[in-house]
Amino acid sequence: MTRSYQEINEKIRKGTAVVMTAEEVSRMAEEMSPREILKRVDVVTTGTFGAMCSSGAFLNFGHPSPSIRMERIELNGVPVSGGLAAVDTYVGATDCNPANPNYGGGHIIEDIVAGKDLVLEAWGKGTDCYPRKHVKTIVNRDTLNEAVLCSPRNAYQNYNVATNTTDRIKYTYMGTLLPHMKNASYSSAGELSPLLNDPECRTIGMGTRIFLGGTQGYVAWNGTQFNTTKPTNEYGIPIGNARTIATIGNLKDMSTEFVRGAAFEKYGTTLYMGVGVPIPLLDEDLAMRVSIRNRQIETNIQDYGNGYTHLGTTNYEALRSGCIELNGKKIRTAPMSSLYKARIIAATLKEWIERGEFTLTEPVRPMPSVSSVSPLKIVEVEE
Amino acid sequence: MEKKVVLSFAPELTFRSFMNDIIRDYNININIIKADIEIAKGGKLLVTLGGEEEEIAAAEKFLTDNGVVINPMGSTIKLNKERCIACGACTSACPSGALTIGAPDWTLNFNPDKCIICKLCVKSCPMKLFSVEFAE
Ligand code: SF4
Ligand code: SF4
Repeated sequence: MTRSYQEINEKIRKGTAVVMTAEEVSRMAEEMSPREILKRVDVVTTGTFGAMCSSGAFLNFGHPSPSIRMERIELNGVPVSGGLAAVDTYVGATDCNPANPNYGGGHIIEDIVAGKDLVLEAWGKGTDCYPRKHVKTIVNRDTLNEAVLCSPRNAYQNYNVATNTTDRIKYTYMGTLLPHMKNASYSSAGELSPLLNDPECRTIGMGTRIFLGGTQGYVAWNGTQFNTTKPTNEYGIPIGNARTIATIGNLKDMSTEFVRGAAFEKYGTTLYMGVGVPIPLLDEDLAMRVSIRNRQIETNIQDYGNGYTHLGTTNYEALRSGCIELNGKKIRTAPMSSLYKARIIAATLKEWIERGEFTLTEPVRPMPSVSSVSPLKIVEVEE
Repeated sequence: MEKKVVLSFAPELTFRSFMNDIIRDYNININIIKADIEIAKGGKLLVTLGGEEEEIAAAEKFLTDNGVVINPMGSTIKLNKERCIACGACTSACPSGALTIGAPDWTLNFNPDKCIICKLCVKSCPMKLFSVEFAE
């Protein structure tokens, strides 16, 4: 048996589509075969809410009179990109002012979503066509012409577990890592995670409509560092960080429930983003993929105190139990991304589809079938 | 001089006899005003440390080097729970078990009784929701 996007969307419009979250379907799979699941379920929803540092937003401020070609731009004192024409900017989640390390690009993006006023100050050299040299004013969600979230890398398929073998505390983007492997942190939503439910991205590609920050957004492209070459386990799950998606959506329609600025000690600022992807059950293979359970999703344990050295592998059932074992030593585990919010995202997306407000899209362009990540080579540069 | 402080012990520190060490090696008079501590569970001692200023400073350094947390009396950790995203980053850092997250609902639990005021959560929360309060 197979099913098409058109058939699924027809059912969604009629209100007869059967939608389940990835957790619900994984529980069903304890007793049912992929064939039975395919018969019963049309769409499976996923969700994740975690720090996604490679996120950002394009803004357009509008032209003052006389007009300015903004070359140096600050929002609430945080320097943001002046590399676009006249009155556009890009706010990256990790943009920050070293003098105030706990407020940065991620917080600016959250404040725009919240409708708060922001101080915009910009400087230009003054040109014949843009004579003004300086502007200082207030902007907010409603005064911006456009505010578009456009992130080059979101929703990593699987992620490493971080621990620290040294005798000093390490403050990392994977949180505070206590000395002597006293703790380990993990960040994927496991069986609820979007790209783990369609590990080869058969249904996820450019143009896929998704849940993004509380509204409908889209997959814009394969994410940067998209990697198809990671080893997979017997269930077809890549071990460690593999594929990613680039996302795009209207920031003005998003909600601070799912878009939150954050700051990691000694690391800098970032953005916690909520992303959810619907997976259409087109055939038995996809039904099998969405049935994968936490114990079948494995990942690497790495030493973040010591150059990401590989220490071993574990799975998400063990990680969620609060304690893993590594070479006979018990290590306390804790998450860095919110399963609580991930569940709300998957449930919200399910509701949208059940109510007929959200139909599925077939990718306009598939993800690359082969893509690997090269390191940056350091070569001699002649002066 | 005399100094009144709260000494907080993570569970694994309760197996050691720090009080004997600082009496013997640092010449400190200790007066335990209140003890709320259990072997293998951790807890707090409200004490006065008596001795020369340098002796007290050396004893305090010995204690902190060994993982004991020293705080002025009456400090507590406050959490602004309304903005909590239930990420779990603070529970990862918390050495005392005061902050936990887990099945079934994966929301944050804070048990201030277990807190040893090490302040790691203050640094570790990406939303900066913890603060130290000094109230008697
Ligand atoms: S200060 Fe924070 S991290 Fe330290 S014990 Fe108390 S709750 Fe846990
Ligand atoms: S780190 Fe902060 S936001 Fe995350 S669970 Fe703890 S209190 Fe909540």
